[in-house]
Amino acid sequence: MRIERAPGASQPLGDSVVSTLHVGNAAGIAEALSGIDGLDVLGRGDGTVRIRHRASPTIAGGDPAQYLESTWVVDFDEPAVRALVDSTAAGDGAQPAAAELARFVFGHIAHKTYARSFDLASQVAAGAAGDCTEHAVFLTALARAHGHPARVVVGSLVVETPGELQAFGHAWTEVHDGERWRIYDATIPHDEAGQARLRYTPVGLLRDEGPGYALSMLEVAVRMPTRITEVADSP
Amino acid sequence: MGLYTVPGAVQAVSEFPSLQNRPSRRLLAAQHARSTRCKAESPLECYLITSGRDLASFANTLAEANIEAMGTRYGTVGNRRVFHTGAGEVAGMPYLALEWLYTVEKDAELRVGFTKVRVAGKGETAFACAHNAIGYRATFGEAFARFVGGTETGDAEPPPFYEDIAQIDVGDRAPGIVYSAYSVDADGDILAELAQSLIIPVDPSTIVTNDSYSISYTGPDGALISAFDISVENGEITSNLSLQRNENGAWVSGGTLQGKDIEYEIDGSLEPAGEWRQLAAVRELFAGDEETLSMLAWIPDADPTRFMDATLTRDDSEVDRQATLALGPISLSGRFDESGHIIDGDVSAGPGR
Repeated sequence: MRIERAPGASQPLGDSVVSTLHVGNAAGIAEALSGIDGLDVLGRGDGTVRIRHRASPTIAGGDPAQYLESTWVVDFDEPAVRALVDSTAAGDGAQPAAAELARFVFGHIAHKTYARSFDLASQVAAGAAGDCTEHAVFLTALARAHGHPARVVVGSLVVETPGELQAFGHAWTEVHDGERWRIYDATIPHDEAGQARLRYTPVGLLRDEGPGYALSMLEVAVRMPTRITEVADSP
Repeated sequence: MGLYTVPGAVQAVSEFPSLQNRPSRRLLAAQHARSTRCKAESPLECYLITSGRDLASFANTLAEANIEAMGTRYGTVGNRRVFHTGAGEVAGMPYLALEWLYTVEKDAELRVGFTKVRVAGKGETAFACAHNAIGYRATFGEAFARFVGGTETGDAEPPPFYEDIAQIDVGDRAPGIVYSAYSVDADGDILAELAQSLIIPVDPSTIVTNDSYSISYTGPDGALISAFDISVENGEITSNLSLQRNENGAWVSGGTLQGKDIEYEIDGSLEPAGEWRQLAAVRELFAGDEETLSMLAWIPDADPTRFMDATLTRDDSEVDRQATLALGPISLSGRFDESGHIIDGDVSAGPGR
């Protein structure tokens, strides 16, 4: 995904950043983005949506209790996942932290590859291969199995390293900590990010976790920007 | 062996011992193989198999067998890069092309390796050629075309009354091909067959192969009778689904999806349109006064649990026979031929459009 700074934009960027998303359907995507905490829609044009990105945007709302079940995609009741759930249990019986589970998922998926299109949690547990969607689905499964409400989110990720901005289509996990939803990205556990500054822009949830998940994925994937321009500190 | 020849080519002994050793269903099923030499040092190997229709998987398996053989002969294979993927039509069949560039190292000596393969086929018959030398793409393509075009394979039963080959372009690449055929079976029902194969480079050294095959039976009245859909990803079957009515008249969509059995009952009063009915609908739209036309479709790759609404809207004020197909969140704008097939089109995206 192409990304360009605005002329004269600071390096590194600050905490609050504005950018223009180039999208297929500006009206529909502006509406979808308006339902995101930590992100403001500033305006839209012909094929563009201007946003302000504050810290760690998450999908607004959703009863956490509805994100605890084992489902067709997030199938933590399958034996392949159960075996790993047991191995990630804290020694004293306490609930493992979501960050710990993200690190476990990062380590478990030893073969980082784009060759898997979209695996179920049980397939990831058994095959230990995949890209961001496999990391997100598997972390969601482990989190739920340990009693953390969790859900799969699709969006774009902007990675800022000294002197460079890169953007990718991405998937990650939101875990509810009892007060609010928080981002956990098992492809880049917190302590693996190094100097990189990560900015997540969610465009939607995987709402259908049944056999029709592909349509649900498509529904959010088509909201993804084709490029991001005029990236600058928020005035 | 030796029943099929490449005109003008010189026979040589097969140089691919790994073909006998590799546990590949496709290659072990090869019934006829031919090895020839063109101007390059490496021989040209060609195969005809009569039990396969997964072109992308076949291309990948053949390329891997060749690269493995190069490694066995010359040393350790490394630095692999997808050099080229392509698709098109040859002798009335869809074909896929795949080329790999790599290094082969032995005793600190580094050599460049190159493997190119082409596969073509329809129905149960597939052709393939492989060549392990850099360059010669045009010569290789010509030899492949002669092999495919010069081989008698017999006619399909029942013979199709309509066939179509469409290339799938993504950006400046042609990663896939779609073959469709329509025939009338012994009961007078219309059998629609659709075979799609894709080779998608997902990073410089990794490809994903995807083959899908679907058939549907439509009665003379245009009503869908049954449909079947199989998808193969990276050589593994990921879905094997069917849509049929049960004894109560309800639709049952079921089978295996990603290793799990599924079965969903869908309202039997609904009338989804099969491939044949969809073509007729396109023809009716352009022949009539209506601006839009809606129908239900069973699209198991998207959602096997229900029928999806498909709406076709005319957009032919400036471009003849152009329309937009809205299918859930996907919108496809394209031009259609007189039979109702799409000639070319662009998929665009966006909710609420």
